[in-house]
Amino acid sequence: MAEVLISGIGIVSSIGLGVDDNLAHLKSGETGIAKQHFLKSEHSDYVLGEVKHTTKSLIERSGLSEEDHSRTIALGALAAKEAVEMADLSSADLNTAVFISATTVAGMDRTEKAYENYQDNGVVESEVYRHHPCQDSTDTIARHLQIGGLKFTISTACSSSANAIMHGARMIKSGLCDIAIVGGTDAMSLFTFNGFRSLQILDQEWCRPFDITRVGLNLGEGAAYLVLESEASIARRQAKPIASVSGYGNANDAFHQTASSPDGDGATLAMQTALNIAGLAPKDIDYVNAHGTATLINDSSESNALKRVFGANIPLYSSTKAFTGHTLAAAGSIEAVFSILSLQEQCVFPSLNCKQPIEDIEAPVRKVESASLIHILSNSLGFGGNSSTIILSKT
Amino acid sequence: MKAYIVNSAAISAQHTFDPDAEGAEWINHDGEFISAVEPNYRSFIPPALIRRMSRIVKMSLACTGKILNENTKLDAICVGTGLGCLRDSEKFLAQICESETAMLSPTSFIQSTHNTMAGQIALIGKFPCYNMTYAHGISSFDNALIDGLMHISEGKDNVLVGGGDEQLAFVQTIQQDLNCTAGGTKIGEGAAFLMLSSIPTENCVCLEDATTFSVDSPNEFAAEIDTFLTKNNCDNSEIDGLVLGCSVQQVDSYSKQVMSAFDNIPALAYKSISGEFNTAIAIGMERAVHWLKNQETLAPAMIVSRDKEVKKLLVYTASGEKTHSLYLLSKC
Repeated sequence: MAEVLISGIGIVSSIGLGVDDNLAHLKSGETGIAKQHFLKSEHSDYVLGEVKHTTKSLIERSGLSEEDHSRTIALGALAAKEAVEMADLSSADLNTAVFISATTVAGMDRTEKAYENYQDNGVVESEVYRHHPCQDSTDTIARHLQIGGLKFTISTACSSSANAIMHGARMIKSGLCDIAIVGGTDAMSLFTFNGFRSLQILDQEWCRPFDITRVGLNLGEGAAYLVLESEASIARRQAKPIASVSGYGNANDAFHQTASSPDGDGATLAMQTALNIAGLAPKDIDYVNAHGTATLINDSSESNALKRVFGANIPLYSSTKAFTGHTLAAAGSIEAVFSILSLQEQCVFPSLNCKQPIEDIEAPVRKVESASLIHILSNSLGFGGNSSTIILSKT
Repeated sequence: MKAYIVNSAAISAQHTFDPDAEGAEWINHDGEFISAVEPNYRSFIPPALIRRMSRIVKMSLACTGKILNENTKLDAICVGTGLGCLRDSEKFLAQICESETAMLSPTSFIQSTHNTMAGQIALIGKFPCYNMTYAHGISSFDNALIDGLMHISEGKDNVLVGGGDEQLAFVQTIQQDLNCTAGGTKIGEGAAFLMLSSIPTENCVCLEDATTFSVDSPNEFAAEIDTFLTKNNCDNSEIDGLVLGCSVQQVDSYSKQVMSAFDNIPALAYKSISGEFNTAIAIGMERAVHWLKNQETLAPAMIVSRDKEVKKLLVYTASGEKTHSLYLLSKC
């Protein structure tokens, strides 16, 4: 039996609040990418994967006690709550559970407004800045759900929540904890939107992962969490696992601060490490949920990495970022949840909007397809060369 | 979880990086904010890259440059930072506030991500290994250390663990507003890195164990110290010295409680050296290693001073609202 089991998942993204809502959109092929509505950037001509609710509404739904929180916290609290409820954890279980949360935006959605107030009017809103740092979202969500064990906050850009999953799995295997609630959350902010815009890797229109004509990514926002448990804990609680984390790997591309190496060195090493941990051969992988941001460099680099790892036998693969946008720190856990849904439904979700697939590799899956799935590999590749792979398996 | 600390380096508000340098004497810092004593970065970073780098990245590269040589094969890099690259975050924010529609320079955005410190260590040293960054306030370094120790227990050999934070004028304004400098607290900055190994070397230090726990009362706290030492087959009388997360001027109640559990043994208040900041514990750990290896400490930072050989040290720091961390170190 697998060593690290998953007993609960929760998700909020531009294609819905909760697992059922997200699954319905994935199956119907309906994207969440749309014209900007909540962000209020002056560059309103860029499409985004926004969660279709105001921050106030998200806070109300999550049951957070105070009225004003960063959007990052609101998204995270909702998703983490769903995961914990699905796993049916008792308050005693929660009291000793470890919480590993990932974010890059943290409180920046509020900080940037406060900073503008400072620049324009000299006002220093210290109370807002107090909630800026990354650990504030982790601590607030943990307090809200009464998670009492050790807390960790990971911030490694776009691979952050994949790393949170890996860290939780390693802690369970090391015997440091029996239950780890892991995942990540990132809300839209002007800081990140303009940051990516300054890098000239955004597409103003709907992105096209693995398409020859792709020009860039669409930003998204969201959160997803998983409840990981040891076999002993599952047995004690008589819980029903829904999947397992069978492999994981993190490596560094060491090529450039933002762009991947042409041959995808970091991604290759991360995938190989994950396969080794899982005790699997490349041919055992039935589907790859690619990082597939739709930037010129990523999709080319990642395709090369897939070729290096899988040789002539590239498994079915797709990027679900044309559904959700690139959700930054939340991407790893959101895509892990999508991979688990694939395992449960025994179908793969498409790379939407891919009309002219790249030619240096097989075309990605472009419509919902039934498939026999036991092992799924998911990639998340971040700035700073941070390359992560998670392997999820059917139980 | 156990590991050997085979090398270490720290940049702090005292001459901890290069203690043998000319004029390296104790610095009496006035004011609420104390700056790090920075080395000549040209010895560690290609000059062309220095100009654009944030100070915390430069400090990290200098520390790791001192520890690593061109033959080092790293298995993992684990870094903690409370606030990350502040200067670049503010620079980019200021740009957007000025004009969202103008052409924005991406450099400060790229450099503002929390994992820039760990990322640059990998990029400049060409290390393809595991690379992780934790940003959990005053537990950031502890997060990174737990990860590093896990790697050692998983059979890895050379693991770099470090932490650092930089100051920023705007953040100082906020800190004053939030009374962070009340009671004479001095806010510092700096970085420290440890090289963990599964294999001891001559004159290394053994990190025998580390623990983090939450308590609701002083009695529970006392019991946790006992539990930790008993678990490590260590009698109180075997602890030769303490390294505490406080300053000589402001000894908090938990640090006092740690001291009272031992018989008037030498106690170093590392925040008299580092000042107060999220990853100051990294400096504390480096100072503990230095004390064991060199049998010397910086006198003005001692709460209790005694000429005594030290073979075992207990390091203590608060790591959260009700959370505390203890580390047991011994001379190899």
